[in-house]
Formats: sequence, C-alpha cells, structure tokens
Amino acid sequence: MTLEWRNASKAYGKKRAVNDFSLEVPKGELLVLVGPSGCGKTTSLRMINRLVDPSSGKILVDGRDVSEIPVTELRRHIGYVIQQVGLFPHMNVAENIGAVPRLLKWNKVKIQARVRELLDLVGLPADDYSEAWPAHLSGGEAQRVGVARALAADPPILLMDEPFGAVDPLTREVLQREFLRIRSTLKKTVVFVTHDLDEAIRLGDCIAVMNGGRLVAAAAPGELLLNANPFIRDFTGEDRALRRLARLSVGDTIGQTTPIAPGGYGDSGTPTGLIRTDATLKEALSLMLEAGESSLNAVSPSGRHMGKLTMENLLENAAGIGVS
Amino acid sequence: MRLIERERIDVVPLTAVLLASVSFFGPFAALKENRVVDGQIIRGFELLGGGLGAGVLILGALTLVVALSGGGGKTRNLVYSFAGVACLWITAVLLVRAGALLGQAGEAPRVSPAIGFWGLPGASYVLIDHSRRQAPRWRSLMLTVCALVPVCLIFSDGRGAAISVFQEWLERQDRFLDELIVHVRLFVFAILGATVFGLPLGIIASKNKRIERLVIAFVDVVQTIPSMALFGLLMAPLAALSRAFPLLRSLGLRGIGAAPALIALTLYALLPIARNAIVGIASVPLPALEAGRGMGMSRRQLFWRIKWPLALPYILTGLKTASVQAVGNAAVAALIGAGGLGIMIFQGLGQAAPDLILLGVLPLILMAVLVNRGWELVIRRAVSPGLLGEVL
Repeated sequence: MTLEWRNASKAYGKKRAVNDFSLEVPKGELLVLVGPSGCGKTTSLRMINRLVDPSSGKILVDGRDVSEIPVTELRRHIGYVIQQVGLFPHMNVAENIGAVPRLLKWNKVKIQARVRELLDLVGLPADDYSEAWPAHLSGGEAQRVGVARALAADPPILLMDEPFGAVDPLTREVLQREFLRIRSTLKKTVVFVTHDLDEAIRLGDCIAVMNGGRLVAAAAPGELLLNANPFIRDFTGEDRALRRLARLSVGDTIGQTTPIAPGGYGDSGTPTGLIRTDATLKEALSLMLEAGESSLNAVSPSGRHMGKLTMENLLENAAGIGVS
Repeated sequence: MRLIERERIDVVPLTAVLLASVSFFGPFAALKENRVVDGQIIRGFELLGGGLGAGVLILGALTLVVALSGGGGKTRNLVYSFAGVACLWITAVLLVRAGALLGQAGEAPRVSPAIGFWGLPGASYVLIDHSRRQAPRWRSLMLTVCALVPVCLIFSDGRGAAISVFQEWLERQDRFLDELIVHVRLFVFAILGATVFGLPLGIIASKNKRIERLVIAFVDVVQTIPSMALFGLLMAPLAALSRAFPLLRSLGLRGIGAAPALIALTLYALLPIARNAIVGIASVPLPALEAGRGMGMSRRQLFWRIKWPLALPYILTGLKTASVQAVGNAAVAALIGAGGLGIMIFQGLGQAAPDLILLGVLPLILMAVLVNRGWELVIRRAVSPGLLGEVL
C-alpha cells in the first residue's frame, strides 16, 4: 500500500511538533524518518495509525484519508512496533502474538498455525518460546516477539518507532540484519523511526531527515550523504564519505567499474592484498590503509578471482561520481 | 565446626523446637473449680507417663539434631512434618490427661489454657508450614488431615469437655452458632458493599487526577476515625433518618443494630479496595497500553484485556486486606447491638472471664486465617502466572 502525508501539521498549544509535512512512500518501500530528538518524527509516524490526529492536512493510505477509516479497523491492519516493545505481561508469547488475530476473530487453529509460522520467521523456536512469559525474555527476544506480534495479521503497512533502540549494540546489529532478511521475504510498506543515522543508512530505501517539525530532505541513502544542505551535512557528520563506502559492496563496484581482467592486473602493478566481494568498500579502504597498498584483489566467497579494486574506485564512490 | 555453617542450620524449625520445649516444660494449663478462681498450675511433662514422655523427648532431640546438622532436604522435611503433627497430638493428649485429673469439686470445673496450651500448636503450625514449603500440594493437604483428624477424634467423644473454652461453648451452643452466622453475614455484606462501591470508585478515580485525590482523601479520613467513634457518629444521623422516615425504619434502618454497623464496616473496607484498584490500574505499564491501542483495541477491549488483568493482583490483594480487616472490625459491631462474635468478647471482658473472651476470639482468628487463605487461593487461580513472579 502507498502512504502519503499531505501538508500534515500538528500543534500542541503554540508549539508546532510537525509543520507542513508532505511525503509519499511508494508501495513496498522502507522509509526511515530520522532526525534529532523532538524533530517530529515520532509524531509523524503516529499520525498514520491515528495515535495522533493532525491539526491540519491529511494522511492517505492507498489514496484514502485515514480519518475516514474507523480507527480500530485502521489500526488492526497496520503493524506497530515500539521501542519499549510493550508486550502484555499477563499473556504468554503465543497469546501476545495472537492478539491482533484474536481482535480480528480468527479461529483458534488458524491463530495457532500463524503463531508458529511467525516465531519461526523471527528465529525463536516455537516449542521453546510459545509458552514463555514476557518477564523471562531478554531484550532482544522480547523485540523479536514484538515484531512477530506486529506482523501477525499480515498487515500491508508496518510502523516501527525506534524498535531496536533499547537493546545492546551487538543485539541491535543482529536484529537489523534479521529484519532486512524478513523484509526481503515480506515486501511491506514500512515507516521506520530512528535517531541513529547508521541504522537509517543500513535499512532505508529512502531516508527523510526532519528538523524542528519540518522535512529537510528525503532521498536514497547514497544521495543523502552527498546532500549539500548545511543541516544535513552537519547531521551526517564528517565521516559521511565513510558511511557511503560502508553501504557499497566490493562486488557491486567491481561489476560497475573495472572489467574482469583474467591474467593481467593493469599498470599499477600486482596487488598482494585480497578482499572478498561481499565486503564493504569501507572495509576495503581499511585494508588498503593497513597494507599501505592502493589496490586489492577481489575474490568471490568461493575463492574465485573477480578483478581488481583500486583506490580510484573508492574515491569515485566516496564522492558519488557515477553511481549513487 | 560444620554445624555452625550458616546454610546448614535451619533457623525456623529451631525456633519451633525451642517454643515446643518451653511449652512442654512450662505451665501447660490451670485446673480450676470455676471460671474466676486462679486454679492449680500443671506442666506438660508432669502429665505424660514415662514411656510417652521419653518418646516426646527423643522426638524433640531428633528434630533438634536434624535442624542443626546437614542431611538431605527430604529427610529433614519428613522429620519436621512428623514433629509438627506430633506436637498437635501431644497437645490433645495433654488436654485429655489434664481433664482426667480434674476433680468433681466446684460448679464448673475446667482446664484453663496457659502458655503451653498455645505454644505446642504454635510450634506444630510453624513446623508443618516450614516442611511443606517445597512440597507438592497433595502432601500438605495430607499433613493437615494427619494433624487434625486424630485431634478431632479425641475430642468428639466428650473427653475434651473439661477445657474451659469448650465449657463456655457448651453453656451457649445455640447462641454461639447464631452469633457466628451474624458475624459472617456482617462481614460478607460489608465486603460486598465495599466492592460494589469501591471498585468502580477506584476505576473512575484512576482516570482523573482530581477525582483520585478526592477519593483518596475521603477513604483516608474514614480510616483514621476509630471504629467506636465512627459507630457513634453514624448513630445520631441514622436515628434521625429512622424517625423522619417510617419506611426506612420498617426496613431495619435504626441508630443502633445492623444498619450502622454495616455502613461503618463498608466504609472501612472502602480504603483498601478503592486504593488498591487505583494503584493496580496505575501499575499497568504504559508501553503495554500504547501497544494495545496501536493494534486497534477499543476502549472496552483495552480495559478488559489489558488493564483489568494487569490490575487484578492488586485489586484482589485489596479485597483480601479488606476482608481480613472486616472480620476483626465486625467484632466491635457488637457494641451497638449488631451482634456477632464480639458479644462473647465484650461479655467476657465485663465478667472478667478470659475463657468466654477466648470463645469469641478463637473463632475470629480461625475465620481471619481462613478468609486470608481463601483469597490467596483465589489470587493464585485468577492471576496470570506471568504476573505472579513479580507482583506477589
């Protein structure tokens, strides 16, 4: 389903939390709303499932104004994940995941099957977890259950409000990776709020940067890091070039820039370092710096020689020439 | 020096053994000719013959050794439960023996309880309660039956008739039963009333800070008025109402009797019920509410599926507190003619007859314990196991 904010504003007294916000999310895209705290990103997100009603403007889901859809009806078809997870402590994991299907009056057998399927999807063995109580789960496990609960009724839209903000960095990375995997199989329209730029770059198809209730810029991660707007440059930080490199893999770059040259290595001599094609360009740069070389041999995970990666490739990509 | 290692010594049973020995060697009861005279003190060990006395001593020593030393948890618990059950049996045997010693002199010869009479069952309770901590439920039930059945058998054929409380009971059997029923009725209706008013009051109060302050202030003030004073305060307006409206009078509303007692007891029970409802609903974690709203629960669904079950442990605990309190408070109601077990207590006080006081107090204690246990059972049944670990 498509999603759209059309001149949405929200005022609390004199303060405008969201100011004339307009943005469209195409079907199946993941939009990340990012910005400093108090920038209005959470308020904008909560307008979609009407936990916040805009003071003016409207929100359209598939072209329909959400204020015309009965609120419980709307919410039951939008998955919602929050930072504090908010599992119901008096229900076990299976009952928590089955909450929305129960609201939609599915029958028991169908709910049970769906719960098992979802536990499987989020990587928690159903036999060990479906009877567990929320109080006994770790932060990471709880948020997996939270994601499973949001996906239970197979909603076309998923709203995630800093879902991985409360877990330790290691778990966060695991959850992000798993979430990317889940998303690639489900293809839902997702709005994801975070204040962590790295998370935004890693997950987003499109990143919308907000400040003071206004949309500053919305662009694909690669483009955003090249944006000349002073606020964006400040927000993305001095290491934005490294962030760009971190997004790109050696394999993609080799394919785009240097033709595979079996046998010869060109004129810059024979590189001695090796880099796997599934590594990022940032890792490649680090390896070059470490080895004091300006080029590396790229090899596929199976060990096949794929070509040469040069410092020039990295410079072009970091500056955004040719590819975005 | 292994004996002194902290974790190896069982402190609770040790205390029980100490209590039991004080009770056994100290004064057990007094033989009296009637309810007022001082009587002749008699000690536990004097009542037991050689064989039985030696058995008791050996059992005591065994329990002491087990409590002080290591050994498997199972064996320990077995010894404790046996010792606990035995303590109760010994009490019964001692009572019967004491009764046999009683002469026929006097108008109402009796065995009046002294410290030993209370200490032995006390030790029994502590030992049994301690031993069944980790035991499955059926075993603790069996223990209770084991402890109580022989005792009941001994007394059922009239051999316990010499016990003073029993004598008081014999003298006023019918009256006792009536007052017991009145007492139960008083506190049950008071709790029902307080629940009907207090729960909605608490729930409404939890939605609005201003109402919450009002409710809390009201129930707090009521709680600070001594029960006697509250009865007194209610008498005048109720009497006036009753005079002014004959209809109310015909319904039983008068300045004295059941009406003011019920009203006062209900007001007292309001505090724990309303306050716990407020606290319970305030305890519902906000993220759970946010998640519930976000997934499309209506207000009603949010209340019944999230708020109510999460507040339930607090609400039921409030009901438990209010009930136990009401059992005791209902005794005071006797002073304004509402009847109940309080009658026995106040009569006993008036006549300086401790045995009669006990006739009122013992069933009161038993009732309070039963009510407490009953609510605990309800709480364990009604509250989600997901909450039991944290809240209770």
